[in-house]
Amino acid sequence: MGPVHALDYDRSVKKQSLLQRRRIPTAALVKAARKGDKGAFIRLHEAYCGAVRSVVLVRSNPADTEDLVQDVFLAAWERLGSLRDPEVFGPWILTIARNRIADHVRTRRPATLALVPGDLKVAPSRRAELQEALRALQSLAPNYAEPLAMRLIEDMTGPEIAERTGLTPGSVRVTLHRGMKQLRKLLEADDG
Amino acid sequence: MAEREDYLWDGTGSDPEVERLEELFGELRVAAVPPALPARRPRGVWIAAAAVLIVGLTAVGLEVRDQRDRGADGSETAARDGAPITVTQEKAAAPRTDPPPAREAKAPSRVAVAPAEDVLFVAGPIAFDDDPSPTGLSYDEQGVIYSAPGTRLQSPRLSADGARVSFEVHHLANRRVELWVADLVETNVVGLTRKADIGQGLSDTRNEALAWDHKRPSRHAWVVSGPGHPAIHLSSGEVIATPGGANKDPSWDPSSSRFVFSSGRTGNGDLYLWDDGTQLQLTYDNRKTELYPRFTPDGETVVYVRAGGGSSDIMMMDVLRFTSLPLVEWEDADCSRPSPSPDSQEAVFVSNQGTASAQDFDLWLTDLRPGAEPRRLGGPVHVPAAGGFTWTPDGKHVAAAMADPSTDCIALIATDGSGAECLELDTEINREPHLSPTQDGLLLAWTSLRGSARQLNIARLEFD
Repeated sequence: MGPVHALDYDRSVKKQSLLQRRRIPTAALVKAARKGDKGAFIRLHEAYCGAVRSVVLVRSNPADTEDLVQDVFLAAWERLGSLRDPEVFGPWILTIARNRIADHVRTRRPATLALVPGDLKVAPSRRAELQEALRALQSLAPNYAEPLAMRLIEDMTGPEIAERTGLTPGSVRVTLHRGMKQLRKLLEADDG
Repeated sequence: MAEREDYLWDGTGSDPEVERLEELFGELRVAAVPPALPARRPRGVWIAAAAVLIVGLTAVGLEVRDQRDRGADGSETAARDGAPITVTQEKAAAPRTDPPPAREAKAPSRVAVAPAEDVLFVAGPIAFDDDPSPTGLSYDEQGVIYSAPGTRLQSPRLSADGARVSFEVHHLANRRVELWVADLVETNVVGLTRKADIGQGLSDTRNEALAWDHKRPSRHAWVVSGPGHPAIHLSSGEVIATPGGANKDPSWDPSSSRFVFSSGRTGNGDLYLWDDGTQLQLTYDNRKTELYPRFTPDGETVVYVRAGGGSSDIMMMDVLRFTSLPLVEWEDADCSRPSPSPDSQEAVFVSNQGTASAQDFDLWLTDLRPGAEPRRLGGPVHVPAAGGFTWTPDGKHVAAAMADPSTDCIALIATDGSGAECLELDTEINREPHLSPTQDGLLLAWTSLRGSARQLNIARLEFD
């Protein structure tokens, strides 16, 4: 991996925004969506899209990510009536996502996962670095890769990851640190 | 765990590396585009469709059942009329004429240690359910359990299913011992018991850690030394306590839910068998003391130590006939901690026979038949604070902490006498290895030095 890049965004603003995020009324939104309220489901999509995309991204080619995420939410919309406890929408849709990816990967060659899509406006000099980092992330065990992707790609905080995934905050915290340690080792090895 | 800035967790503080990766991975971030949602069908439509489906399936099911009731030979039973159902005896399988498949010969094992991170971490409060006072335990942000200064974590024991591990924490100042169980699946740690002022001092290795029931991992036994004599406590609530003497060293029968233990209730140590609430005395030896019993995996033999008269011997008892025979009797040498092999044919033990000091112990192997010639496998080794040694499932190695300063490591000692292989672990001053085969591989638990205290480690061993 290349040298450390200068950060070009305002860290103080970012940290503030990380701390100010609020819990989302998942159960109420699910109940409304069950009755056919598309607006409520779109709010669920906004809240859980990052978590679902992370689950997809650590298992598939990024070029396929958006299509698969859309598939997952469409399946969730269709099956929302089968969700008994609206509080567990997060773990439920993430399970749909994992199953959808498993079906998808079975029909594709899994050899080259980390291909950054060409339509992303990434500077050529950073494309290789991003590809390398993504490949390292995808090589981690999914239980580490998923929360790390939520944190590093989707900009979610640890408490948000816990809320979306249904895991305990303590578990997410430890998993993030362990995953980060493994990711660091992989990236250092690549550098070497 | 004290709250502190943790950028990776909640964005507080600073972590340049995480921030750099955030920025890099941020290139992959895209705005959420909601899917075009079709109108959801009213629930009543689904219920109606389901009702149609159920009616259809019921009809098909009745048809299938009708055909099954007729049976392959055309005989019809009267099950649907309420009469007794005819049960057809399955034909006995033809005897096998081909020999059973030969066991595949395995090349000598080399053992690599997988990273321990996946195996055990703590992610929640560490506490006794009924006692809020501080414990001697903490965990770091990697989820590694360690004991506080002034305490000593020791005697890790994995359950047979590899799902939990028990260990002791000794508080050196007030002579208190705590017994804990960490759940490797739920990542929590629960205190089982704490006892202050243990009667026989911290150097008393007979304060036995928890012994797991192999058949039912939820069941276990442990020994508590209180102001009186040590008593065996079962997870079911039963307590084996006798006013006249200590009850200790429980060892479960791997093939059944019973255990053997030693007791000094007659004024002299003897072995007893606990079997579903009843206790049966196994030895009647008024001159010597019987200690450290261990069941063989087939549940047919108990190996144990007979101590007294200036030496200690390795004995074996046929549990079917309750007959005891000496296995290793060496004058002026101590033998202890017999630990049977997975195939129940051999046992390793420690002895100071021929060592430079009576405090040095080598690891030896003997066949479980009287008259066998013991073979020295290696050493010196550290004698565990409690219990014995554990084997790899193929019977080719035994885990031990080497006591030679030049090879102070946890080693797998080959039982064919070809030597020991140190495991390359990231930890220091490693002690008390305990192996447990699981579906996901062989787990190794051990303790290591952490500052002035000790930490609990678990790794997965992989055989090439």
